[in-house]
Amino acid sequence: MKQGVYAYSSLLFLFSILFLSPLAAQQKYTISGYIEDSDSGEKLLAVNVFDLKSQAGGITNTYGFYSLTLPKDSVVLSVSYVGYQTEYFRLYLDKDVTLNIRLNAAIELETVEVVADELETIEQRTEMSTVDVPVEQIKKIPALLGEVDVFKALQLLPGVQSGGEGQSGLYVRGGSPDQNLVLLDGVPVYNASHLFGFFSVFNADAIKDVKLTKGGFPARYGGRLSSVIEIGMKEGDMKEWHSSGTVGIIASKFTFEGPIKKDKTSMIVSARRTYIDLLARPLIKAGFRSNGTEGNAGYFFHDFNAKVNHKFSEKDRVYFSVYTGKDKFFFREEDSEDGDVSKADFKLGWGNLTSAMRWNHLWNNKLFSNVTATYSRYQFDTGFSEFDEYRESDGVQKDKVGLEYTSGINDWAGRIDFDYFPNPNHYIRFGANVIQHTFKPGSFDLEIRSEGPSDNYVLDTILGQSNVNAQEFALYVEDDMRIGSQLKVNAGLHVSGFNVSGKFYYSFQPRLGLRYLLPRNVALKASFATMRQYVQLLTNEGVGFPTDLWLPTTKRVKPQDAWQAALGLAKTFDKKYELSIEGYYKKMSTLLAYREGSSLFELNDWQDRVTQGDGDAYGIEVFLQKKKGRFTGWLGYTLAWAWREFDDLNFGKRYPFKYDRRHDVSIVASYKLTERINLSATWVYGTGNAVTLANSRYSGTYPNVDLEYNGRLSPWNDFEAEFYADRNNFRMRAYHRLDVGIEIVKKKRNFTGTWVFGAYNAYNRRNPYFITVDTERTVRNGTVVESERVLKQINLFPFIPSISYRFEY
Amino acid sequence: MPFNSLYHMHRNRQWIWILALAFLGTGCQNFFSTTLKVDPPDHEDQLVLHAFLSDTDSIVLASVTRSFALLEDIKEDQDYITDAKVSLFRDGEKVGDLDALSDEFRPYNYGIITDATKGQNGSEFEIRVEHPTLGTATAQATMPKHVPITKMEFTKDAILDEFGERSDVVDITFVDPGGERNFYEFALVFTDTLSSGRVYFNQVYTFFTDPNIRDGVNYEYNLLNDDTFDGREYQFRLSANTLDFSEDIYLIWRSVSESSFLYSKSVLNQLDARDLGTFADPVSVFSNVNNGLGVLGIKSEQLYRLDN
Repeated sequence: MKQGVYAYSSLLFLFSILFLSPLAAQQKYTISGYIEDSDSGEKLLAVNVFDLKSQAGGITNTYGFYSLTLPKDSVVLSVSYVGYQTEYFRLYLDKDVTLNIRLNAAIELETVEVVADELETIEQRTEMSTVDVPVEQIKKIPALLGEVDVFKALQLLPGVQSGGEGQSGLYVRGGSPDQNLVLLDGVPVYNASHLFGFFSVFNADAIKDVKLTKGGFPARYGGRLSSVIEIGMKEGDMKEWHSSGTVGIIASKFTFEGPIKKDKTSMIVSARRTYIDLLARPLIKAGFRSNGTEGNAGYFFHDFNAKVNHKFSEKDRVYFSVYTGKDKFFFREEDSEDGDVSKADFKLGWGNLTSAMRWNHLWNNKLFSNVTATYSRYQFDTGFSEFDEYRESDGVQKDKVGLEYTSGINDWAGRIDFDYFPNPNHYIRFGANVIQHTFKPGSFDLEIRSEGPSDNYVLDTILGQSNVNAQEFALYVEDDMRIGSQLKVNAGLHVSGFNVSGKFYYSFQPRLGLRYLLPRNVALKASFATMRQYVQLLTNEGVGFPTDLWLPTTKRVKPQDAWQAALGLAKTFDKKYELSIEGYYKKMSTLLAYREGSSLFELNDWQDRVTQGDGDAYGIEVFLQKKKGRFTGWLGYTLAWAWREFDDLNFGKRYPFKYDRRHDVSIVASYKLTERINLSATWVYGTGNAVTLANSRYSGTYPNVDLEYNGRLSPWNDFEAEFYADRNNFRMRAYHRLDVGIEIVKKKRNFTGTWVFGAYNAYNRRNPYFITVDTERTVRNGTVVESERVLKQINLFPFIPSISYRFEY
Repeated sequence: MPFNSLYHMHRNRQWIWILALAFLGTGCQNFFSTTLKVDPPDHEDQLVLHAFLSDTDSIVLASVTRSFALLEDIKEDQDYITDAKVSLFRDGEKVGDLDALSDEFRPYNYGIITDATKGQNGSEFEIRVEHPTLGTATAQATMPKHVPITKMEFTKDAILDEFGERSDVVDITFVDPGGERNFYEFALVFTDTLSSGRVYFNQVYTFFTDPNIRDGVNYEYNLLNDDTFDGREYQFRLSANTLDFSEDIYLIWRSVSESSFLYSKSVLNQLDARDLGTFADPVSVFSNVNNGLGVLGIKSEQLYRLDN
C-alpha cells in the first residue's frame, strides 16, 4: 500500500512536469540525424550537440542518434566528442533538417584540448555516480600478465572494489557481485569471469565502450541493486577491412572487421584463447608416461565475439551480435596391463552464450525506437567417470561409475525502448521488457553400471532439483528535463514484476536525479533510486566459484530490495580536470546468504540452505580525472562502510561485510612521451579485507554424551570448538600495489606494431590473499622437538613481468 | 626533463630487451610461496562450562575447562580446571556444589547426584563456576515443559526414494504451545540388548524433507523449532528404508531450552563449515555463559513406542 502511494505520487510529479512545461509559442523545427566516426562509420554515443546561439543542446543516444528542436532562426551547431575534432555547422532553421555528421579523430593532442571547449562537462550532466571509461584508456592500463581486462579497469574507479588479489569481481558501494547488471550489447552476462575470477570474459579488442552506473539509476535501468555495467561491442568498420591482434604470455587474440557492403553492412569477428594447455601438453603427457600410464590434463579458456550491422535505410538498421566463451579443465588417465583396462576422466567447465538481435527504427525526427530480442545462457558442468575392464575366469567384467553435475540459467528476452526528443528541454525515454528465465539449480546425474560374470547392476538416476521457470517484466518512463538555466531533473518510474510458481511479485521504483548549477559553475547533484532484484547468486562471501548458483525469487525466498540516495558536487577546472565528490547511503533488504554451515555441496532444496537479511553501505567518493592531453588519468578515493545483518548469521548481530573497505585509493596515469612511446602506471591502496578468525579455542562437549558398551563415557564426546567474537572480526594487512607499463609503437605503411612491457606489483608487495593457521615444527635428528602454531598470510602474486605484442593492419 | 633518459632509451633496443629479461628473471622467484606471520586476534583466557541437564536424570555433570588463544597449543587435558567451585542453583536457591570427578568421567570433571532437576519443568537453573584467577562464570536456562506427541503413525513402503527404493514412513503430530518459542529434539531409535542384559538405544537412520527440521550434532538428534507454526498443531514425517520391528522402536522426543537448540545447531554448523574450508564462512559456537564460554542446556524428555 505504502509502495503504491509512493509510486502514484512519483507519477504525478513526473507528468505534472511534463505537461506544465512551457509550450512554445514560436514555430519550431527539428534538426536530427546520426553521428559517426568518419573512418570506420561506427556510431558515436553521448556526442554533445549544442546550439551556440540559443545555448540549447543534447547528446546522441546509444545508437548515435540525436534530435534537437529549436525555434525558427539561424543556428550555430557545435558537435563535440572526446578524441574527435569539433565540427561546426551554420544553418538557418526554417524546416525540419536531417543532418548526419561524421567526426574526424583528433590527430594532434593539442588540437583536442583546443577544440574540446564545447564538450559536455560533468557539471552539465544530470546524472551522477556514472563513469564512461574509453576502451583505449583501458588498453593503456598495465594489466596482470599483460591481459587487458575491462573489469579490472573498473575496479580502479572510486566506489568499486575488487574482491581480492587478482580477482575480477566487482563490489560496488557495498554490494555483492551479483548485484551488478552486466550487459554485453544489452544482454545479461551471468558469469563474467574466466579462470576462477582472475580474468573477465570481455575481450577488449571487441569492445567499443564501457559505462558504469553505480547509483542515481535512471528509470530505464532495473533488475539489480548495485550497478549497471553496459559494454558495447564494436560494430565493424563500414569503410574498409582491417584486422588486429595481440600475442601475449597466456593468451592471444585476433580481430577482423570490415564492410560486407561499404556503408551498408559491416561485420566484426574477434576471438581469444589461452594456450598454456597446448604448450604444456608434451610435458604433461610425458609425466603420465613416466608413471606408466597414458593421459592428458590441462586448462584453457576461449572467447568468441561476432557482430553484423546492416543499414536498410536512414530509418532502419539491424544489428546481430553473439558472444560465446568457455573455461575448461580436464584430466584423463588410462592404464592398461595384461589386457585389463582402467580409465579415469574428470572435467570441469563453464561458459556463457549471449546473442542479440536489434532493430533501430526512426519513426520521425523526434522519435527513435530500438527493439531487441536476446538469448543468454550460462552453464556449469563438472563430472568424473571411472571405467574398469578386467578379465575373470568366466568372462570379462566391465564396471563404470559416472557422476555429472550441471547447473545454469537460460534467458529469452524481448525489449522495446523509445527515445523521444520533443524539445531541447526534454529527453523522454520509455519502454518495456520481458524475460523468460529458466533456472537450473543443480542436479547430479549418477550412473553406476556393472556388466559381467561377477556382477550385473545398472543405476542411472538424476538427483537434485528440477528446473524453475519464471517471467520477469518491466515498464519504465523517464524524462531528462531542463527547468530554467540552472536546474536539470531526471525523473522517472520503473515498474517491475516477477512471476514464479504461481506467485507474482511487483514493485514500483521511483527514480529522481537533480542537478543545480551553483555560482562558479559548480554543480550540486542529488539522486534517489529504489531498486529490486529478482534473481540472485548463491555464493559464500569468500572466493567466487563457477559453481555459484543463479537462483530466482520464489514463494519462500523474497526479492532483494534497495534504495540509495546520493549527494555530490561536480566541477571542471581549466577545461581539463573533472572533479566530483559524492556521498551516498544505500540500504538493502532481504539479501541472500547461505545459512551457517551450508554450502552448495548439498543435495537438499537450496531454499533450505539460505537465509535473508539486511545490509547498508555509506561513504564518500572523490574522483579527479584528466581526460585530455599528453598526460591523462585519474585519482580516486573512497571512504566507505558496508554492513550486513542477518537473524540467522552471527547470532543476529550486525557485522562488517567482507568487503567493507574503509579506505580505497587508486591512481591511474598515462603519459604519451612521444608518438612512439607511451608510459603508464597505476597504484592502488585498500584497507585489508575483513576475515573471520577465531579469538579463542576450547574443548566443546557434545550435548548427547554417548556411553560405550562397557558403561564408560566415550572418549569421542568432545571436539575443538572455536569462538569468534564476530564474523569478519579481523583485518588482513592493507593491500597496495604499483603496476607499470611501457608501450612502444612502430608504424609502417598500413601496419602498426606495438610492444607492450608491463610489470604487475612492481615493488613486490606481499599482499594478502588469505590467512590460515599452520603449525611450524622444529625437527632435530628426525624428531619434532618443538611445534608452534602460527598465522600465515598467503600471498598470490609477487612482481610479475609481462610482454605482449599488438598489431593492426 | 625527467623523462629525458626514457625518451632516448627507445633508440637503444638492447635496453628494452635487457629490461624485459630482468622482469622475467625476477618474477620467477618465490612465485607462490611467500608467507608472512601476523598477529592473532585479541583473546582473553576464560572459563568454559558445558552442562546438559535433564528432567529425567538425577546425575548433573559439568565440564569446566579454560579457553586458549588461537595460536596456543592445547596439550592433553591441560585445559581441565580442577580448582574451581561449581554450584547448582534452582530458582535462585542453591541446590549444592558439584564434586570434582576423576578422569574416567571425561569430558566431565564435576558432578552431583540430586533429585533437584527431576520433574522440575518450568524451573530456572543456574550453574555458577568460581575460579581464583579466571573469575566467576554463570549460565542460566529454564527447564522446558513437556509437549506431548498426540499421534504417531507408521506406514510400510509408503514412498519411493530417489534411488527408486521403497521406504517406510512415520508421521508424527503434536500441538505446539502458543505465544512462546519452543524448541525440540527427536530421534527414532531401536533397542539393542547386550548379553549382559543391558539395553541400549541405537539410532534409526531417518530422512526428512521438512524444511523446519535440521540435523543435530553428530546427526543423532534432529532439531525442530516452531518459528513457522507457533501455537498450531504440526505434523512432520520421517522416512527410513526399512524399519525392523523385531526390536522395539521408540521416538525419543524432547523439549529443549533455546540454549540447547542454538548450541546444537551451531556446533554442527561449525564442524560442517570447517570441513568445507574456503567453501563456507566460519561459524561461531553458541554460548550462554556469562563471563565465559560454553553452554548450559536443559531437556525434558519423553519416550513413545512406535506400533507396527
